[in-house]
Amino acid sequence: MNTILETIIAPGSIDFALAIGIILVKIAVVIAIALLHVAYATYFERKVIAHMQVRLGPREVGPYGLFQPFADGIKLFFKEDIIPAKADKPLFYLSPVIFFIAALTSLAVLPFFDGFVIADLNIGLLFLLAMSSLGAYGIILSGWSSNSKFSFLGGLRAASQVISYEIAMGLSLVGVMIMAGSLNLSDIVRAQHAYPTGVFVIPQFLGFFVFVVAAFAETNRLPFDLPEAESELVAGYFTEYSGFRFALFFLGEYTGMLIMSSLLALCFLGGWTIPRFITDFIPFLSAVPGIVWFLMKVYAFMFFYYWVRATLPRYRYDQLMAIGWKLLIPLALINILITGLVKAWIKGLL
Amino acid sequence: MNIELKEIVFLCVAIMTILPCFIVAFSRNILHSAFALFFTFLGTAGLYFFLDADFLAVVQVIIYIGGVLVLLLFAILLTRNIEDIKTTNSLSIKHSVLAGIVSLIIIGGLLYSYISNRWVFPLRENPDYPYFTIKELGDLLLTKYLLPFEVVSILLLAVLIGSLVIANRSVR
Repeated sequence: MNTILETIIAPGSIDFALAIGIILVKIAVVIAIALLHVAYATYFERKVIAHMQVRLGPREVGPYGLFQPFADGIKLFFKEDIIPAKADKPLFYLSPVIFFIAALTSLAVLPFFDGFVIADLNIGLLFLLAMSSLGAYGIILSGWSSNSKFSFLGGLRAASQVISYEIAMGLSLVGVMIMAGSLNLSDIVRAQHAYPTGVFVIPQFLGFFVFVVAAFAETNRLPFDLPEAESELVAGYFTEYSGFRFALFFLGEYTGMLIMSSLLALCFLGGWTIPRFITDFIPFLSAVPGIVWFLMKVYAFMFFYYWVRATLPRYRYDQLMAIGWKLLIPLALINILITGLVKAWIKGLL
Repeated sequence: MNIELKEIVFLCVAIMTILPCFIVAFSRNILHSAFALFFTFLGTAGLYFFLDADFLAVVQVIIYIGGVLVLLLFAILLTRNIEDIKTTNSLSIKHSVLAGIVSLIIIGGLLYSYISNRWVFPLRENPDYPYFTIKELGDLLLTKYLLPFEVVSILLLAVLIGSLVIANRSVR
């Protein structure tokens, strides 16, 4: 134990200890802010959907119902934690934790504005895809360990859906990787800023379309929310969960939505930058901090999530699989082919 | 011996890799065995990070955890003949002897390749080792190792077509 203290206190390694401290503070700040955003994303969703359905939404707790997320959180925290008698206890305890941790870990590689990222991995994009595949375990195991038919069917559906759409999502991002020449998310944003259109949506519209559809399916949202289809499966894989374990699934799902929106903003919409022709036209816009643009893009896509939820009905399960395998994957492959050919042509290799 | 943070993290990763192996081998519930592999694979990815093979580590997570293990769980959950999943994993002496021999051969092979090659660990201390492995890997795969790369892709294509043929036959 002495040696550990020595290495931390020894003069040569003070920078080292400081660096670790800074990283820990960064992690705490990012998690706290992300969870606050997640809490208010639920409020935002209820308000948006309520107004689309000509209702008012939450308005009792605090002014305009602004404290509703805290009231929900406190309610979930003090609810009784019910565990089915025949459930597989270790897996039942573990699965919401895995689901939530996989979602939170993804936050580590997201650059929120220039230079602010916990881990500036040079394979950040691959890391995000890896973490999104970890989340599937929470779903499968919660479905099986609850020992209920609704949960089991929901879990199987969710897992096969997430695996199928992961392929389409990964392929849709390959076009962005080819154009940016990097897997580091900060580099991808910088490459977009250097690009004439300022965003990758315009040349990569096929990849963008595939990514948006796959993002809906990956986060199990309408119109692809078959794993938790209320009218047939009660609540799907988390039917048997209550209290704080249910809250972990809920938070994980909304963190997943936040991550998908951030990924979309970073890879297709220019992240914390705005196109240069706009700042040339209206110069004072370049004084606005980057995080404002980033959050605007993220929330625009979150709004799109809610808009779609209030508009579209649910797909049938075979339709869902057909869209994934027969439409999105071929489209993404065509996109890769075109992008690669154009890149080779520009570089003079053809 | 000077214990640094890196060594502590390494110990945690190594324990996370090895301990679940006991559950894999000795659990009576085959689903628990399959799920314990999850932590082993995750720990292996961590070990790859320590060996400065960052791309390999992430690919390990994507392929083994995101693909192979999910298929394994699916196969278990969709098997019709498993009546009680809680007592499906039987232990037999014949199998354990066979498994022991195989693991001894693998350990011997790994030790032999480690001793005979004299690699410099960690690889970062080797001046020839690139800082970003992913770029060099891409270059090598499309230049020096193009033929093996294409052979593997043809194999995968054959597997894909073969699985489609089998699936189509069972529908009729």
